[in-house]
Amino acid sequence: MSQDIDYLQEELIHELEKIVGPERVLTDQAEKDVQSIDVWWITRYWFFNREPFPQPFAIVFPECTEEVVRLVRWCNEHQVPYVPRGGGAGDSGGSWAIHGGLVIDLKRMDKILELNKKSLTVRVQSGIIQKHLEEYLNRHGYTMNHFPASFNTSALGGFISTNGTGVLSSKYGKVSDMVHQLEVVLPNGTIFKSLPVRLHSTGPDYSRLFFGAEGTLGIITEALCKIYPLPERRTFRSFILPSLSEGIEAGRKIMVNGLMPCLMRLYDEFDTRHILKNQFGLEQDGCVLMTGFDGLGKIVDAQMEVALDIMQQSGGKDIGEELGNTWWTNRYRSYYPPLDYICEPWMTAVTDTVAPYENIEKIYWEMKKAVEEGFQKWNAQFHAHFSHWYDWGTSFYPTFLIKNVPEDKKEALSIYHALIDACVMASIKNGGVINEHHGIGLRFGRLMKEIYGDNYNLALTIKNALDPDHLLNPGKLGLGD
Amino acid sequence: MGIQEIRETMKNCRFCFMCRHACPTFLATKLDSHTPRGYALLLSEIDEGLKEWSNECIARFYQCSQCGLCREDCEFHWKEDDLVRHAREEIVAIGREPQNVKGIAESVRRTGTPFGHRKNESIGNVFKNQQNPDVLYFAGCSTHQFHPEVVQSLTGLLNYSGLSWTMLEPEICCGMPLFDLGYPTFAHQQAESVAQLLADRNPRLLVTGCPHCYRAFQEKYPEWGVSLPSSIQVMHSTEFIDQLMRERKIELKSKLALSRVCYHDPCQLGRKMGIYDFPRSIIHQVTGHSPIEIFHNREKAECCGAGSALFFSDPGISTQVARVRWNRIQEENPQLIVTACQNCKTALQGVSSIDVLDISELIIQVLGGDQS
Ligand SMILES: Cc1cc2nc3c(=O)[nH]c(=O)nc-3n(C[C@H](O)[C@H](O)[C@H](O)COP(=O)(O)OP(=O)(O)OC[C@H]3O[C@@H](n4cnc5c(N)ncnc54)[C@H](O)[C@@H]3O)c2cc1C
Repeated sequence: MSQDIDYLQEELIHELEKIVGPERVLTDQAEKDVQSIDVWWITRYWFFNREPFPQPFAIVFPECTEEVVRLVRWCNEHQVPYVPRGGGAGDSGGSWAIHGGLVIDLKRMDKILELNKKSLTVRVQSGIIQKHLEEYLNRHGYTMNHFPASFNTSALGGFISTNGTGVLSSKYGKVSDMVHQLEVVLPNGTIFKSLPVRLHSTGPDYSRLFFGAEGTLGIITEALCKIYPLPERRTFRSFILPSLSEGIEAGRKIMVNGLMPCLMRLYDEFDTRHILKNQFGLEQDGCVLMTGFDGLGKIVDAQMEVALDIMQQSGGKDIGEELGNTWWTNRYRSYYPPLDYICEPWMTAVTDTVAPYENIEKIYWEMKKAVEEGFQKWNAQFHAHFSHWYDWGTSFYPTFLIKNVPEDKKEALSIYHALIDACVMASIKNGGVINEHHGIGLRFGRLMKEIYGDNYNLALTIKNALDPDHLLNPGKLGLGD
Repeated sequence: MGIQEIRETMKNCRFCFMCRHACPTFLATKLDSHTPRGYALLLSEIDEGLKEWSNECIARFYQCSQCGLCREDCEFHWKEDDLVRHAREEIVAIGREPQNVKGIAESVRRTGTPFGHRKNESIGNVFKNQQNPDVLYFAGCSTHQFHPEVVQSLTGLLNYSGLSWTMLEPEICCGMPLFDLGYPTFAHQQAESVAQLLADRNPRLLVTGCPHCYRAFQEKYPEWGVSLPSSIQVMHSTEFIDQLMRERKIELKSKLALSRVCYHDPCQLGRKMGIYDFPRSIIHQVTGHSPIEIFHNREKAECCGAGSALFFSDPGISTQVARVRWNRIQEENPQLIVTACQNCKTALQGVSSIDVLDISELIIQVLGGDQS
């Protein structure tokens, strides 16, 4: 780097220090390196292949909305690209600073601002790690009921930005169902606060623009979230259904008959074999379906009774409470290495898909076939569970895996992209939507026009209107280079 | 020794985010390079020849308090604290450890303790270097240096108990900080010297109030192949006091009028050595109330920021970490904080607006002042 640029950078850093204080501006390589790798396979692959990472020139840690406003204005003034960052544990390279610039790390914005016990809400800054928020709520007798597997590590703002989903979503919904109001710093450096309730007809609820926007339209600084009293009871029950079709149908019946299970998890044959063997030492065909109800004891009991009837009529073999209880207690265990593939150099991705009931099973089989047959040469594996259920459809969470990644980098990357393409096509050609909750980022960004068709012009129009210079998280979500 | 011993941990932790919510240094700074994943990733970059040790990177490795909460929190208990320690060995091997850390090692070399020559504390009626006493009280370097009041309290209790006792003069470093900071060979040598001094005095009981020394004697010396005579039983002061109370060698005539005492679990004593109940039982007996539990307690207690000599080698980070713990403690609205580690006392005293006492000081308050 030339002396001049060094000098210029010094000046820029000095200005940033005036906004957030010198101790909250980092330029060191150690922090940049650690922030460069999220959960997207490509970032690990970059590491294994000794590729240089795209990195920001600095990382700043604001503590309040006002500081975010000043940072955004500063970026505009200097035409510096900037990337909001929560936990940095996304699956799609969403927080990669591909054009350099500035990373605005929000994790110091972690204050809980107000607990409302009457209307059951909590107002909170967006950088709080979800687990820390939940711990606070639990201590006051409440819960947010948002339990994604990255609960320990991702931030509320990250979940809003990817419109994440937790394991109790069949009752409590996605993050977009859990938030009443958002405060966002827009790319022009002004603050937008949505109306205090979201179920209104005073124009559209503009806060919706930011759920799933992955930091391309604004920086979320504060949210008013729904909370619930801790449940009096939470009960699980598991069944073995003869086949995946019968499992999906049994699950559908539970959802369309007005039951509100907090947990619905149906495992495909591959996962079922694995679970039954590990848990019970059983070698048995079929598909395990776990369900659960929570809330007031009487309501839980009544719902479970109906669920048992439905399961019996569907040919489900009742295997009792143990599996569900053990799963609930250990629900994050499989995300720790060595159980999680993340520690291995294997090629892997999740291509979660959501669709109406009439399409979902077909998509599953098509995707499985596309992976296992299309990439047989590399011994590609595919397995899935169906874990977020609605009264109109459900979603499945598939993982593909290739253990013998070709040594040639070009070949490896082309297989990866071909696999992603195959999964996306299997979904969209059969009436599904790929990506239920793991983010688009760079992983699927190039396919957004394929997924939306011309409809994506609206997204581009909104992006251009809000962020004409494309400084905010450029290149993500298929919104430009 | 060195990186090869922790490659498996490095491989498993370097891409895993799952324990970051727990790491006390991360909670204070919110830096990813202050998380177990961060340490593993940085070390693996160096191990694979992608990077060289930079000053910032070295600084990060010395800003971990080695509290072991990440290991406890992990479903598979990967030994991240060991990983950090091994990394420090590498750093020491190339002579790049931070100046403050170098200073600690040099001071032990020159004076026998990390802090240089000790202040002249007056401990009262102490019979130093006696042979074959019931008890040899090993105060620990940082207790001598920063908390003579704790030494006073423990020796007061010994006087009260009627047991014969002694202390080493000079008392030298047990080796534990050297080990933690990346000087294993030096730590072993130091351990040999201490073991010899202890064997010469041949006490029935070796009591220390310092959890680091306690861990050295109980766990590390055997691991390092340094043997104390088998006739010497080792106890932490909390166990010793509890035993004195059970044997009625200490009898409380009254109780302290305190109903809201918070007990902060020192990482070395609790998580690393499994002592949780003795201090709680003592507090109950002294005040008539069980201690108020801090939200994260026992094996999940967050570090106060003092661990691994951080309070001395990097007071800035140590204070930030201590503030996080103090915020937790404050939520319980206590009248008093009690702990069982002199370094926790240092760290918490630096940030809290209420008194912080070592458990021995609590007892001495009921027994009534100076027992010398
Ligand atoms: C082990 C593991 C398990 C996972 N399981 C789940 C799961 O069960 N359910 C689920 O939904 N996800 C899951 N994920 C994915 C991940 O946790 C989510 O994508 C999460 O939303 C990312 O949050 P983060 O705070 O880590 O965000 P980051 O990675 O920091 O950011 C993600 C995107 O959001 C943007 N962003 C972050 N914060 C803000 C903000 N305040 N304002 C505007 N934009 C912002 C970033 O720019 C980026 O584009 C898992 C991840 C891991 C590592």
